[in-house]
Amino acid sequence: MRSPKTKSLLFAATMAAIGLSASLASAAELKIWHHTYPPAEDFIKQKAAEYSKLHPDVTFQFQSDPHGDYEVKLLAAIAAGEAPDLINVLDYLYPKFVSKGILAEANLPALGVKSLAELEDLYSPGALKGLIIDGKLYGLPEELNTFALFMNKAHFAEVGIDVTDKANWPKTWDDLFTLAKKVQKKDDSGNFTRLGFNWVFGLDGFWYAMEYWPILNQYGCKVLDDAGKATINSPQCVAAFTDTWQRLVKDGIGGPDYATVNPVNALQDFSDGRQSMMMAGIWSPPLFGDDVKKNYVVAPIPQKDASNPQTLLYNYSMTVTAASKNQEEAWRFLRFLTSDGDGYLRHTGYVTGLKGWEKSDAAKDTIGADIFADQLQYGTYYWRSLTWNEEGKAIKDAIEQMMQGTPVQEALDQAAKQIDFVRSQQ
Amino acid sequence: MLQTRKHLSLLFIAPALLYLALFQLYPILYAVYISFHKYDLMSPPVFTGLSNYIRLASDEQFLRSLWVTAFYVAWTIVPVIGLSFILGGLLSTLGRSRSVWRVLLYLPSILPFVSVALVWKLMFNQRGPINDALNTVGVASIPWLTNGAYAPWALIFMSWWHATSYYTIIFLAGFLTLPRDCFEAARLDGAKLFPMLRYITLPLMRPTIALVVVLATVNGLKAFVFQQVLTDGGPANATQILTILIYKTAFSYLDMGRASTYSIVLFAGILLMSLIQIWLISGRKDA
Repeated sequence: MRSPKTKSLLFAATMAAIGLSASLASAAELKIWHHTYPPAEDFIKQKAAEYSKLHPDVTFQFQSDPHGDYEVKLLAAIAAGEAPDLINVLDYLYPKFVSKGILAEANLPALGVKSLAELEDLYSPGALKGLIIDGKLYGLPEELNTFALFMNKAHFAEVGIDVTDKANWPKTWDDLFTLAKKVQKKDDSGNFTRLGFNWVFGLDGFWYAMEYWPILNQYGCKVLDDAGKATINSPQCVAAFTDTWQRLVKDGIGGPDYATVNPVNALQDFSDGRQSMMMAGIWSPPLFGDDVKKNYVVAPIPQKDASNPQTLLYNYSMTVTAASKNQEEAWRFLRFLTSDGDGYLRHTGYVTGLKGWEKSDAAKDTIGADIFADQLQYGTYYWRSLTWNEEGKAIKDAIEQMMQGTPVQEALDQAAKQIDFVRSQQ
Repeated sequence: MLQTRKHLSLLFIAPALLYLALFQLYPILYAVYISFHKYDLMSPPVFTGLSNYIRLASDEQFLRSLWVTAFYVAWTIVPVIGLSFILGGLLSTLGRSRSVWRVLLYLPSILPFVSVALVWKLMFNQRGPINDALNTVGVASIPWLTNGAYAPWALIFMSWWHATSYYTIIFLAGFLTLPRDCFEAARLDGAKLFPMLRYITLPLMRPTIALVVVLATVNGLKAFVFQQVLTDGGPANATQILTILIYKTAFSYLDMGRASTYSIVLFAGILLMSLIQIWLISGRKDA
């Protein structure tokens, strides 16, 4: 016969065990994978800590890798059955990822809405478009973006050009290269000490695409025709690359030999004040060095035809994997995270695309927010393809060939051949 | 008694056999199996017969990579074997200072590959020390890693530095085992350096040379890290050796069937070349 004291101890232990198992059952550890961008990493960690305070049973694990390596590791982890719960995915990968069953369809109640239309109404027009496949939403924008032209005020002031005056902004690609020549600097041996402008080099195919995509659209160049055949070697595409990428090298303005390649900060030369102009997104200023942070203006990218402006539109989204065991909780956290559009813009430079973001306090404090908001409306998403990575690589290879002197037509013919070959194997 | 000893010996080699079966044989057989399929890691493999092999003939990326790999291996192994042979021979003639030189020469081989590659990437930079040195003697900067004409050579020069250190030590071991009486007898007969090299050293060193040739070829064909870190196969695929193409096809394009086919071709190439080299350098002697 056990004593009352023993009985009560046993009862307490049983209750504790039940309580522990109940709390363990509801506890969720959400693994988040993101491409390397230190300001975003810090912000997400901060929001995760806030969420854990509100929901003590939810904890987080965070991992980041440089863009490029990130996608490779992510796919390897998913294939190995080690998929994280929340992942950072570019919109052009959605067709491939959805077709492979990697992404979970959005849990609308967990996002606090009853229908997709209701959710779309909370966002700027087209913000969710790149994340919808066959009428189903698979992610939320973390970074709805376009590219604009960043110009270093101090560099231009040195050569007597006031770039705070819109009249001095380059309107065409010809204007841009003319300005680049005026602002560039060389030492006595003829080596560059400051570049006027340069494209990105030595990075993955997506990085190249961010810069050539708006230009291709301006010139009426299509990567694929409606039947899915490569048309990257069309006369329009040849003209687009001849007038922009090839011209940079031909005129001795820049090229791969002069670019610093840093996978964490692809814009190192502008950030460190070694380059006067660059094309980039609204997210780039947190990466700038202190001198550059105080000295830049943002202008629209040059256009071929000012009456028909064409820009880039892309979405580096956050989404939940189909393999996640905590999908509902993950979607709830995503809603919590991305609904802080003001915080995102202020801390990371990311536009989450929530309606009215351009009028927020953070936007008012962000140089060029009005330009980006304006440019977004002329943006077009990349071409859609299940073999985008190989197609993007083929165009990147063509650009690298052009930079070494291969005629543009010849380089693009090879790219078209490679794209057709890849697509024929599907 | 004999039967018991046989069973006992099998027991002793079982762990090694198990290791080889699990980590060497099984992946090879699985790669062969996958090479006859379309497989993206996410969905079950779909049998496609010989289609992956048939398309190799029209796969320009593969054909280009094959050429880049052959170029890299040829230009790596020939100078490296020559250099290592000379250095190994010179080291064998040293006295007490030999151990110091041996350690110094072997250092590149024990450094982590990625660290070595990153240091060389900085050295080959447009504004790096190699171009600075060229500038001081009046030679213009060379775009080592950003131009397809120079990038393969940058990797070849780097491989000379790295691989020579390893094979020098193997040659040194070979030189130290050579019987001294042959050389002394030749010297007494008035033999000169080159005849001694031709008729004594080279024949006696034949097994070591065979080993180094095979190892250098296999290691050259399996190279990956330096190309991945320095150029990622670029610019415009100028340094995209087969291993880089296999990696990209498997993990960037998720085409495991095609990547496995490339791997089988590489494996078959390594096996065939090794057998031919062993036969040419040592086997033919016995025939």
